[in-house]
Amino acid sequence: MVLIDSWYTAFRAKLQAIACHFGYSIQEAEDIVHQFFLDLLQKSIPDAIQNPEAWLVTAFKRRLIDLHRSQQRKGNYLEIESFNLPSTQEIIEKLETDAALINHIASAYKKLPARFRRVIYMKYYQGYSTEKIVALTGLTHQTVYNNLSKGIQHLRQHLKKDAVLERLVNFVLCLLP
Amino acid sequence: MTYTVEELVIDDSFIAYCTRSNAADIARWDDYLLKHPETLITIEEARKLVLGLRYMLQKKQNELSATDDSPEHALYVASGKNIASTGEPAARPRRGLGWKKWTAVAACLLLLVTSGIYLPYRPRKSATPISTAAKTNTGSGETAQSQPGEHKTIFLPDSTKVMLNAGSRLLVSPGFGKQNRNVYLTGEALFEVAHNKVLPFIVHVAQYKIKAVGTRFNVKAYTNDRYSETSLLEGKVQILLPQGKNDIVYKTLQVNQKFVMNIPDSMTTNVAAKPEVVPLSYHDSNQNIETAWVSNLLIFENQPLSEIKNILERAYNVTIHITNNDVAHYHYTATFQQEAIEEVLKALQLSYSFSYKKEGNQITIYK
Repeated sequence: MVLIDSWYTAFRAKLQAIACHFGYSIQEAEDIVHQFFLDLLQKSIPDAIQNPEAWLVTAFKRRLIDLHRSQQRKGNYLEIESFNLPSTQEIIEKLETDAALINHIASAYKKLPARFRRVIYMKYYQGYSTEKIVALTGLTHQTVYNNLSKGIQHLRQHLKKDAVLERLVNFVLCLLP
Repeated sequence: MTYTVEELVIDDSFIAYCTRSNAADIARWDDYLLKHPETLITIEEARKLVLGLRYMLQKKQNELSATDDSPEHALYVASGKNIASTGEPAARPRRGLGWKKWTAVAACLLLLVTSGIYLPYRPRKSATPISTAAKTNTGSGETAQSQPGEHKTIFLPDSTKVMLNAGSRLLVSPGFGKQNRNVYLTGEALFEVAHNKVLPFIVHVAQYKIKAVGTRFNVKAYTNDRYSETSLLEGKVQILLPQGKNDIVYKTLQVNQKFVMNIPDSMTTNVAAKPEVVPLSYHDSNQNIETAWVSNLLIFENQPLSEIKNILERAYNVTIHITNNDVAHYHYTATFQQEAIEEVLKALQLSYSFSYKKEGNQITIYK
């Protein structure tokens, strides 16, 4: 009971957004998510779920497929089946084990002009807030913001060319509910 | 209002949401997703970018420069082996260990940092690493010099205050204070320049000049270091680079900026001098690393032993010989204040192991 409550608090927003992604209205999505968690309360949950986020997303996808099959029309079976939203843990595990992926991101970063790399490095490696970067570099807030924003924009363009982010999506979920 | 991927990725609160590090930020972005479920795909892309960038920068910290492509810059880049990356297993397709490994890496890094910082400040058993000589006045045409293991404070005829770090030499030009305010530095010094708009204060080092009117800055230009640096703490200074018979203004530094120029190595002829400007490095909110020596602090931030060696030699008046190239590339992060040289070496050994023997002032480090 407590477990399901905490899952509801932590993952309700994401599940509701998934339902909306497949065409349900916010109200419909909310109802589906509530019913999903109510049903979970009636079921026996496996003891050793290591990655609740992934487990819930997969279970919820099954629910959407069931709704589709029972003529509630939203989504497409194959589309729902192939829709993967990796959990934080899965993203990190993928980053840890896929050296080529890291090299791709590094290569995209290396292509950035130095002024972009400097602020990106300070924010994502050194963990500084934008205000702290402003104080340390002596640049204006607007310049730091622009350099970060443009830097990320360029990075996305480079990554899209190599379809890198898709690789983070398209690895198969192994956890099945 | 909804956010674009770029806006999300650079938002500090969103980054905290991605790393699950702050409950308020998690609640904020969950609420945003509830109100704007149509942004799910945008949020997911932004989340992957944040996590991917963070992880990549940690994994590749030894290879990447934040400011240029030169592999030498010690602030962001270190060549060769690094303790943060050594011991990392090859990629392996296992599940379930992700968080443990992640936590272990973080714990190791924390240990490495704290192993230096929290060393007890015991009284030194052997020679004092730094002694502070009495303040002296140095006139025009004279030379002030500090020995290894010694700091020296001098006052120039125009009331400019100069703190010389260990093993440094400052020559004051003959016409100082009347025709010019030229000084020539080998080593490291912190300048507090007296204001004089008519006669600019010019520090000459091997490859460039620093021109100031009245300001506070640190110049590091040892002949055996791979970098020469000028760090600005107050006011403004101009960096002048020679071009033919004249000098050109390469850059006017802003406060908290540092000019860095690598010294071309005679052994590697193809590496040209390459100037750049980078932010100062802060150890904490009050202490920047560039001037830590003034407070008798030795702060190493991910520096190879080959560079630490030079600093220790000057601070402790010892000669260190590293016999093994691998060991010379071990990187350390640590802070020392009052430790004897043996305690410093022992603390470094704990982080990444090597052996050493000390005979008088000669120290030999081997694997």
